[in-house]
Amino acid sequence: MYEFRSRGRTLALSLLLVVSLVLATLEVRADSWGVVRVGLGSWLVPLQRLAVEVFDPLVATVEGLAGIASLRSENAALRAELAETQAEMAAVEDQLARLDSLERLVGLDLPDVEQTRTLANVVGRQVGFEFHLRIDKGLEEGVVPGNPVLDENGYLLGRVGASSDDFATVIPLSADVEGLTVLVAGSVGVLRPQVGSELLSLEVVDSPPIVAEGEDVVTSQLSVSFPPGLPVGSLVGEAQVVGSVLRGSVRPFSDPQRARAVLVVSWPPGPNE
Amino acid sequence: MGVVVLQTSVVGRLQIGGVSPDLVTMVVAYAAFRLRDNGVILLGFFSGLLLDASGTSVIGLLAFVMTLVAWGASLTREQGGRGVLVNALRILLLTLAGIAVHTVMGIAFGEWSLAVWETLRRMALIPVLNFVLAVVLFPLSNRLWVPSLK
Repeated sequence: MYEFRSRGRTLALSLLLVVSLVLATLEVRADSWGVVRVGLGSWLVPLQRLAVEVFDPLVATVEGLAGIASLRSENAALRAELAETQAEMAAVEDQLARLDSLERLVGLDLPDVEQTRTLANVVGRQVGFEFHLRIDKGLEEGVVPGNPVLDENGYLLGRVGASSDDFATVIPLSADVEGLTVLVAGSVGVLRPQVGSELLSLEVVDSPPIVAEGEDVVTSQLSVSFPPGLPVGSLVGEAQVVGSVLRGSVRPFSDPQRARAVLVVSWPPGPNE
Repeated sequence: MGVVVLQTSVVGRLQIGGVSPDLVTMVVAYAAFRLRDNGVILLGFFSGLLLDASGTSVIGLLAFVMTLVAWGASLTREQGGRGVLVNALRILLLTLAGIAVHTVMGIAFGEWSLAVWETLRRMALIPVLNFVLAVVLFPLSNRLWVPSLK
């Protein structure tokens, strides 16, 4: 009896295995065999929907409990990812701002400046006893010490202090001890930096003019180092006349801390310019 | 059919380490305590066939695999009554054998790409999940088990 059952089991097993293999072979070889799947599968779909409806709250609860454990680590990972994305966005925004500055510099219309212009990116800033900017153009691009440097609005920013083959340093007006010959209300004066202040000190020696707060200050044609007529800044507060000297403070239009790109002007012009 | 429906709709969502327990194998293993040999083998075949139909794999592959698992379950029926750990180990081995055969058959029928690490992960995790589930469900198996059922 037991042997008979054992034979029956072996027979059933063999038969079902063969049927399985035949089904699989037909599925692979016969193109229209998918009808069987559709037929069988269509029976299951309503039942699967019903099961989901019934068990969904339970599954959601279990998922929620299981999710709590991984939520913190996932949160931390997401925060790190967010920080990274924000840093990338900041970098992109910085690049866009730099591009905007460069585009404005290209389209800059300067008074009486027909000389060679060189666009340069500000690639570094040194803050210390001698504040200066570092730009990515140097002697190879024709940037030499003494060249005037303008910001994206065409305001005078400073001058090139030192230059190597592929980079140069720019001394802003507020850090330039050499002073600057300027014109204010038709009179020639000298601008010098003030220690510990972003304002420049103005002195007009000859025939002090009558000036008011907000009076524009531009480079003078008497200046050897800078082209004439470049906007420098505006008068802040009331100027005082001491003897035959007018003294006041000037706030520069340019802000070296915010400059991303600058325009270096070849000045004084060469013999062919 | 109910187990296949649960496996393909509900259990699939309860994932641990990216895999779900294989409820169908467990039910076939437990069914061996109550059904005779041919009944278990037929149960394995049809449950596998339904799994095939509900998924996208080649029809017949899981039927083949589950038939062999059911045969294994009927052969190890007596061991299933020897205690919680032995029964859990039996289910672990049945699950492992099922996945291994399915992998081999899948490759033979062009169903599986040879994603080695994914295969190894499934082979490692699903049997362990079933092992744990078998330990938890031991009171149930203890009630189902009938000595000397042939």
